[in-house]
Amino acid sequence: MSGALFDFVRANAPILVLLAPLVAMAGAALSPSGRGAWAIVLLGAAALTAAALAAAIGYDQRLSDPLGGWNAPLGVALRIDGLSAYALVLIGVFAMLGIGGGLGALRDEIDRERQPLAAAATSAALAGAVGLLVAGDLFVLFAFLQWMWIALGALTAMGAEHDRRAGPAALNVVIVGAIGTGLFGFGAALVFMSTGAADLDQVSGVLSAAEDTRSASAGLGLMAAGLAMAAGLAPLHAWAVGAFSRGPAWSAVALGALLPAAGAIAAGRLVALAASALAPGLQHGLSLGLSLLGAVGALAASAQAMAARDFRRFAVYAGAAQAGCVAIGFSAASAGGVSGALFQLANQTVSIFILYAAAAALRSESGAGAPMQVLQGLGKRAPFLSLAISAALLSLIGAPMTAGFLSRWSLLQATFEARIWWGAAGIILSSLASVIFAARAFERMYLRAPAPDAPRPRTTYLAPGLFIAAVMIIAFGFDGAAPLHAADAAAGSLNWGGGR
Amino acid sequence: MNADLLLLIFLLAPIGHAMAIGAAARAPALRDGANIVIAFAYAWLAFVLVNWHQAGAQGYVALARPLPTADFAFAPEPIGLTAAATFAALGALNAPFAGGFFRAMQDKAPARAQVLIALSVGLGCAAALAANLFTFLLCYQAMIVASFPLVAHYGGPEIRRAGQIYFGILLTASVALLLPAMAWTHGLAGRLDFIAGGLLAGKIGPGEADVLLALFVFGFASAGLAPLHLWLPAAMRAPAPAAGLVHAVVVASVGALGLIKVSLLIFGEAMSQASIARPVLIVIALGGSILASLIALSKDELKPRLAYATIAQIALCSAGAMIATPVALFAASFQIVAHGLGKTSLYFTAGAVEALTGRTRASELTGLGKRMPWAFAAFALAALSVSCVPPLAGAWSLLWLVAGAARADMMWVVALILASCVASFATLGPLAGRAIFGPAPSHPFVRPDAASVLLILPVAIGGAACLGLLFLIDPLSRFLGVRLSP
Repeated sequence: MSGALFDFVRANAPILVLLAPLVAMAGAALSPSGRGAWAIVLLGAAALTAAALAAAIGYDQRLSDPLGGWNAPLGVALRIDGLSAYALVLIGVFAMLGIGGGLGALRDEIDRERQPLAAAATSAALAGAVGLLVAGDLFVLFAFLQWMWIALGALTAMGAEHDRRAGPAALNVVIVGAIGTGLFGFGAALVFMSTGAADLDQVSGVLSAAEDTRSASAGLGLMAAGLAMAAGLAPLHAWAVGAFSRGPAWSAVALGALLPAAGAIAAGRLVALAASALAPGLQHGLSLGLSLLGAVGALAASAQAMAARDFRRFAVYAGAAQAGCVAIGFSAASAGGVSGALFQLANQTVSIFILYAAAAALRSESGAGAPMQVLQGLGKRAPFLSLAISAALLSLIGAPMTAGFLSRWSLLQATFEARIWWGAAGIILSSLASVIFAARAFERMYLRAPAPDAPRPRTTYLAPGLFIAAVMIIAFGFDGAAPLHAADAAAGSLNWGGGR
Repeated sequence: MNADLLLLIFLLAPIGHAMAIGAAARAPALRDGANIVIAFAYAWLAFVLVNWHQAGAQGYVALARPLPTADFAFAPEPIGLTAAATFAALGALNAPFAGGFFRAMQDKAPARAQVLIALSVGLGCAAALAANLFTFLLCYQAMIVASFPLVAHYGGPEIRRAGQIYFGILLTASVALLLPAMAWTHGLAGRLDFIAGGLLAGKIGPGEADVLLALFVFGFASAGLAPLHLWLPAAMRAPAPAAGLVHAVVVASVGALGLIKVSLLIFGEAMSQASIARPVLIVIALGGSILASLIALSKDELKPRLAYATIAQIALCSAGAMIATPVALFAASFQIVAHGLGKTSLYFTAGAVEALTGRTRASELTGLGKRMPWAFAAFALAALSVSCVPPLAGAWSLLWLVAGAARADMMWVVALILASCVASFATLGPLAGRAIFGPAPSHPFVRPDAASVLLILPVAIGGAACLGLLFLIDPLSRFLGVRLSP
């Protein structure tokens, strides 16, 4: 019985991972209480994780689900390959930890009658992120990108009664999101016009056989730019700054680490498509652009993190700096580079989750956000919370014996092999910048006395997630074979050999 | 007990050491007692490891596998073991001195400083015993992190700035230069193990070898090569027991040891491929050494003068590593021992003078030897030893280094080495002479009670050891000669 259920879930995983957050969204919206809505959304995240695990365990073939039985080019294809299975497990697990730990923030920062809607919007944004991972054609990708940003904008706006800055931040999310989807849409239209196909497999096949791929490569570049915005790559990360530093802490802890990761994975898929199908010159151009954008983004975001005065903003910038390194890994356009980038992305998700969760635990009663001063004396006030933050910061630096070291090492190896010297320089310089901003945080936590009016950390619901994430950072720092193998398998599942 | 277990105990002992000090933080007598006993036990363990190694019991401990091709592992070899035993022995000598110093200075947080000293020395020893480049880098960076708060120990904006310089230079160099060098080495060789004959032998061409060697040399910024030497003067803001043992001896020597291991075990025969970088780096090392001695002469504050003297004298290790003949590498390894012992004794004297008289300037030492004869006798012996004056231990490093350079047909290097030693003598020799033979000052002491035995005994033992090392040269040569035949 359980074997049959597993087979059913596995066979239908592409639609189930999407249905889980969508059904939870509907259930949460209809729930009479905030706590009930929270439980439904958490259940949805758990169902998503279970379906993702079923797809990922013993991954041996690509799972495909043409909706309504309509195959490409007419139908809407949902697919799970090694890359999306890897990303779905990552996102599912951290959705559970984030949503589970965010109950306190949801109750404190959002009006009682709006709490069910906030939970529903969260599940909707999560569905958007999942859609980016399982979409098999250009228009489905476009639709879920749009969907994700609209849901996030609505969620951000719900924090406005507690913190008035959330209103303009929501507008920012919607506007930047519209620009991002606009870029993606133009790119998708160009690709469709030049190939006559929307299904990603068909696009790849047509491009591999085509003689002139210039307009298609321009389209792929525009699409990648739209997805780079979704990945929170600096300087295209204004939406994340608004949503996760000025919106409710609930949205940051539940979604802050996940949505950029989904955007980055979708961008990585396009890079693989370009590597396998475009002419070498165009492929190199795209790769060069991505690596330069990554290096500049990593450095710019690191500089912003150094100057940040708000802890949640600091987390957004630190995440954007990591996204730059991920882009550099993708730009190597090889299985090694994408593997390093995926491992880096997982590491970024874990570390940034810790920072958002810590910011949620240190949120002020007045709703004025979490200034960097909240870290002062945290080593004495909350030693375990400060240890979790320390683990995250060390991993962001790439310090040895943390997971971050291995991921940066993999990226460095890939850039050396691909001879992307500026990419290697970007990774190293961003590590150095991370040392500076992390050192400042360490100094506040361990060398300064606590402020007399410092709020008491509220870690009741967040503790399990913080603990699991911190243990992952240290354990994978001591033996990184498992995540490295998973990243290798995910990168290896992409088509690298069909290029020119 | 087997050698693996003994090695594991030696590696983990500093954690227990730090915990014991921390647990007894509020009971000064218990704290200092525990610190001294454990430090001596640690030094004893180091010498047991040396004996076992000589008897053929070579331990190996792998604690983790953070990279698919490199374990976090330790495997003693003669050069690293000699350095580790030196650090541990000096740590034992430093423990009573630190107790006496912090009491005399009425320090506000002595336990914190003692914990960090124990951890820094332990991490220095761990780096020395690393089985591969990855483990060395990890322990090296951890040592920088552990020793950084010692620089900022007294607090205040200026001292915080000094701490930033220390941390910034050492960590930046290790991340920006050493890490890429390691990744590049891995790309060429597929692994990072220290291997007799050299991991890169036959795997690297001339141009690549030049750039990679330069990355390693400047990446190990704690070896004090200009222009990355400013961390050491900045570190002199630390209390004397830390500034001397931790920063001027352990941290600087671990950088020099890194260069020796890179030259011998990573490049090996491939050092000949770096035909452009080697002479350039030798000039930077020895030219920097002469310049550092001249700067030291201009410093009246004692600790900064000793810091620049350290830069000058540890450069001999870097030069030996770049000359890269077996004799020169042997000389560089021996210099770690001779310099460590001499420089620790000099800092002990400086610390004792500061604690007992409040004097911190070289010009204020005149005639003080008549009031503190034991301390300044030790100071004179140590000053002569680190300045390579025969027959003291430092002279033997000089002799072998000159022989190594001559055998490599680098006579211009011989000239630079001799000039460096003359300049080095000028910074410390006359100072010792003025202290001993100058007119004695009246009422120099600021403390009403007599000098603590904890302060003066380590100074005297350190000075005597500079002389005694002369009698250990033969066994030490034989031990090091397992890998290097002078």
